Amino acid sequence: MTISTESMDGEITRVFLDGRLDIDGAQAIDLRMNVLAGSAKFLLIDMRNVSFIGSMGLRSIVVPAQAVRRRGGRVALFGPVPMVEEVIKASNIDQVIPVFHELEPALAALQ
Amino acid sequence: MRSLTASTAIPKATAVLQFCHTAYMSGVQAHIEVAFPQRPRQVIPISELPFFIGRGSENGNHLALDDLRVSRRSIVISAVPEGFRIADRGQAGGLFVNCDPVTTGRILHDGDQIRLGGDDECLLVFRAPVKSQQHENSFISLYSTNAASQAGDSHRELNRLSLLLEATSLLHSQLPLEAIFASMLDHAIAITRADRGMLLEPDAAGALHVKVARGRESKPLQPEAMNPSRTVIRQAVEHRVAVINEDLLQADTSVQTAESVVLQLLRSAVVIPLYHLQHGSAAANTDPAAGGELLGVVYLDSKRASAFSSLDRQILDALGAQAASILDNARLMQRERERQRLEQELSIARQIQQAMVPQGITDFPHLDITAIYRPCHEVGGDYFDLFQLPDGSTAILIADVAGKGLGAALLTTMLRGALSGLTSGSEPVKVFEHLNRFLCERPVVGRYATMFFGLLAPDGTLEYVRAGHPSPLLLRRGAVTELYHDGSFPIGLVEEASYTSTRMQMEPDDTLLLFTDGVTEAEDKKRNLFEVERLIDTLTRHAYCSLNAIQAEVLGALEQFTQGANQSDDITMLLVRYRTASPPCSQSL
Repeated sequence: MTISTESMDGEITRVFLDGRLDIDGAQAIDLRMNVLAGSAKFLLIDMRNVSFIGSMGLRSIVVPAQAVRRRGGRVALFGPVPMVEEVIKASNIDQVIPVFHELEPALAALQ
Repeated sequence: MRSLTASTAIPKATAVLQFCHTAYMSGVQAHIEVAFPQRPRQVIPISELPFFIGRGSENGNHLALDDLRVSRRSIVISAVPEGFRIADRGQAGGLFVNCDPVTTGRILHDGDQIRLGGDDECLLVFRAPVKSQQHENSFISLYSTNAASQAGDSHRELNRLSLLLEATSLLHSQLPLEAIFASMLDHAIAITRADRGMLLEPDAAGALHVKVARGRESKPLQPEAMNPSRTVIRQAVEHRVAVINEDLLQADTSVQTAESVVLQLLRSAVVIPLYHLQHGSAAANTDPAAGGELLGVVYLDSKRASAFSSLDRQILDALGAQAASILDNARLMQRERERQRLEQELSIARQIQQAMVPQGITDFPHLDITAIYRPCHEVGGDYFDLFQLPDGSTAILIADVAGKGLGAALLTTMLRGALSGLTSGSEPVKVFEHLNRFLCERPVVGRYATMFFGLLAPDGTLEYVRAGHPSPLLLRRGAVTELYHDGSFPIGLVEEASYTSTRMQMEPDDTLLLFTDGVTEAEDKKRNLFEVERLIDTLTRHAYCSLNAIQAEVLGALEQFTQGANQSDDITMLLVRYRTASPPCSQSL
């Protein structure tokens, strides 16, 4: 599991996640995500390269995202594969954090 | 936070030169800094005039440089009415001051860079004597810089500090906290040109203690031996703002007579209180006076008066913000490590918890039941329970707690306790909502759970509440369907979650298969998932078998699918077949 970030226009931080978000994957990204939770204003979580998400992995996404939202920021999930999207939808998370499959509308939703 | 790429290119050579300012002894002496990149940095006072510099002390050099690029008789500094004058004594390749060749001699000014010969690395820096200055008003809340160049240097250092911040956020689990703090202080000393720096942290009672102390040039100092000016610190903490106390000897009486100030001949101090970043709004840097919990204090002092006179407010604010972030991150890291350690030590608790799962219950009047709980070593937190309510209905619960170890085990135990309240007639939806709030208000628990809870009445009415749990499968007359297809919020993940109760009618011989995702997410060696489709398929093919037989078939299908790949999650399955409350006539006859 790897995590990297990129600053985009409009104070958007794009987070690239790559790998399996199982328990180990969740541990690998937790601290970085926590830092982002305290600093990012608009967060685009790029999940295109996440092949699997477990329950702890879901938590690693949702808890920081909620923290950003509580601070008045916004979060969007971008490009989950079907397995990952299924987990997101089974937990109703898509009702709290919007999911996009195209970049343009995802960025628009953050503005 | 700055992006990683933005702050990588700090010119190495400039970084080496910025740091030093020394006049410990008298506060008046001029000195030479040896700034060869490959040598330890040295600060040599110009103790005698003329002052000779060259290779080897045997040639009468006051400053002997053991480097073949330096000539034995290199240069001389002498006193003239205008100040200090430098001249070439025979340095191979010549003498350069600030890149200008010096032939006949030249008056030196503070900060002049002296290059010996043609090699850029043979570099000395001249520091003019520090003159004592009198300040009318010594308690100066911060004023803007009059030395633009130093401001530039400070900003470069801030960039380095923000790099350090990035580094600490990358979870360097091997890096001890003290090393991060020490590095932070080294940067702070470099930015402010202080003599020493300390990080103070509050204890549980709020009293500040020196945690790490550093001198110049990354010299470690004994935290216990430090005696920072408490009076100045108190002023900063009380006003919640960074302060510079420029000449302590001229300060108000309370500071002036403070023991530490007198004993240590402190002349100037900078105190930057660090506050937890506020999470109230996304807008950065709101009113600092409204800031959060005090994380600690960065304290810098100097025996020189007006050592910090050119620091501006912006630099101090930025320094404070960066330092607070580092401290914040470091604490987060410490807590995380502590949590991991606890989980390892106490995973045995989970084994105890597993023993609480009901074993071999079959005697419910209107139900046949078969259950299997196959925990995966160290992972998971599945839980199921069956119990009878006073009105004759049966409660069926299956839950999957995220994560592993003690946390998961404790949470399942807590769920069990909370849900047992259902026997006294509490509404399931209310219990779910209460549990959700309870967990969300305690993020330290760091866990959430998916659950399915059903109440099956003797007449076949099934009322259920779900919380992000995969739908049980209903086997009715040979066909398999899911009870629901849409999602629901798990317990303890999203504060605003709400739950609904759904009612359906079970028919005699209807069978429910409840399971956790350890079944559908079982993996083969290529990491393909078993998926619910395979489960439905297996169930359909064995629809008319006994519950035990169905269970065996599903386990067999799982085994065949995974081909011996390691089980990665707990596997829990619960098969419930509804019969009419009174036993069939054939049995009563």
